[in-house]
Amino acid sequence: MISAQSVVDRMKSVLDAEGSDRYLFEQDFKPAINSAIDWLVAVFNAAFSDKKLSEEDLRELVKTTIWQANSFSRIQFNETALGYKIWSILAVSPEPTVFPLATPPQLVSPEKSVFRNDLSFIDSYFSAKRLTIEEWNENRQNVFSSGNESLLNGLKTYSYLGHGNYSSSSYNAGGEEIQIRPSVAGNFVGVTVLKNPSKISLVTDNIEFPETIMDLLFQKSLNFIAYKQGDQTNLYSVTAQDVSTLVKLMV
Amino acid sequence: MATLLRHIVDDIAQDLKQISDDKDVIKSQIAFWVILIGNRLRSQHIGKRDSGAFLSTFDNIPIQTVNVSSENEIKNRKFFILPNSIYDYDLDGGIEYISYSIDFEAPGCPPPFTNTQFSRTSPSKSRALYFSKYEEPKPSNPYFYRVHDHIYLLGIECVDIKSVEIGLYTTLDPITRIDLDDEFDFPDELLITLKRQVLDLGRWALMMPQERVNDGSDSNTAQGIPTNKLVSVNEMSEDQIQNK
Repeated sequence: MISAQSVVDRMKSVLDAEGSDRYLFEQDFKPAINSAIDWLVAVFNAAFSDKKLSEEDLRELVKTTIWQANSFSRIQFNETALGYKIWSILAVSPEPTVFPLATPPQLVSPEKSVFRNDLSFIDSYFSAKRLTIEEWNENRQNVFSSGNESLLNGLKTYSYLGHGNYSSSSYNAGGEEIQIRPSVAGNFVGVTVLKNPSKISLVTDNIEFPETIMDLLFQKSLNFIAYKQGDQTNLYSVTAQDVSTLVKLMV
Repeated sequence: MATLLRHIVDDIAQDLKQISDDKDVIKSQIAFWVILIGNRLRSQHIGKRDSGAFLSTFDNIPIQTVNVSSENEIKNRKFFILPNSIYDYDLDGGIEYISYSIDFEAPGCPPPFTNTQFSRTSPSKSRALYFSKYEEPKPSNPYFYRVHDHIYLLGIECVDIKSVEIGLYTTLDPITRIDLDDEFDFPDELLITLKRQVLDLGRWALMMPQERVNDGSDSNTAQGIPTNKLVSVNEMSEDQIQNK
């Protein structure tokens, strides 16, 4: 976690604004820091599309939860029940060992997956590979593709299809769902996600990024402040260059 | 400790860096490659050595007859179905022996399976056997011939034999049946050759240009299919040496 106060202090120091009211938290620092958080999410998204970053980089945001898939082997991430918004799915782990030990109960509604707040993920022998919509149907019986339904012996593999909305007048899962194959209908699934980092509202809040990217966050926040200063300022060009360097190092 | 198929597959997956959830080559494919190359090396090994290391025996294989002919099954002929796929060596060498026990007291009390063993023939050659009283198929001198996975038996038409014992050089199980945690029935001294050849296959598969991957992106830079440089292991001919 990075405290917002420490970022503000560093920004004030660089801006040479200690003890002055030239820059205010509500009007300057907060929007700049929140913009930097949004920007970091976007930058990391680009990195995810190429290669998954080390979880170390975002360890505060990595959450693993247990879900019970619906009768169609789908999971709808109910963010209200979860208590946070999901940024990205890092791993889907079928057939998990859970703590405390539990057996999946009968589903109340066949299309509704269930978030099990009372269970913790311990481990699993399986990790589902993400398939695209185009790969999903084509490889259903391909024994050399993850998630095929032909090999169910010790060589069984799982895959999942990213979010899709399958709602109709007779099917209401509550929103977008991921789908897992071979079927895990009614069974527990461990899902590791990246939580969307919360925005700060007070200077006493914490920013849900690790200390390791403090410098990147600080530089980028400063970069947003620099916009306000108009063109021809040294601050903008210096921060832009630093940010560029840091992104290259991170991604 | 015996080498498990899992060890070989995991080793190759590790070498090919296919160990994440987004891997391109999954274990079933590596296992398939191991079986493909393993069968080739294993059949060569068995063919070169007079050893029982890879002989599999099966007892009480039921003898059957059918009343209606169909493909590979002729009505009223005694046959049994091979319990496993076997190597197709010359002269049905994948079948080491077929025997049945007849009830007579031989001097020295030999084990039952040595009492009567079937000799190999073929459908076209079997007719000639009946011209010689020394070769004629009969219960004490039976024959077999192979039609796909059906083994037909000659000479036991008039006796009631329920089952036979057989010894086979079986192939490795297909991926639909293998258990990764079973002992890998393969000569240890050839494991290095197996690994090398599977790695070559894997390397080739992983060198497929990205243009042939359906990722929805378009690239202007053309990538050719990588090729291996072919190098002859033979000595150069006189012409080649002179023109060099």
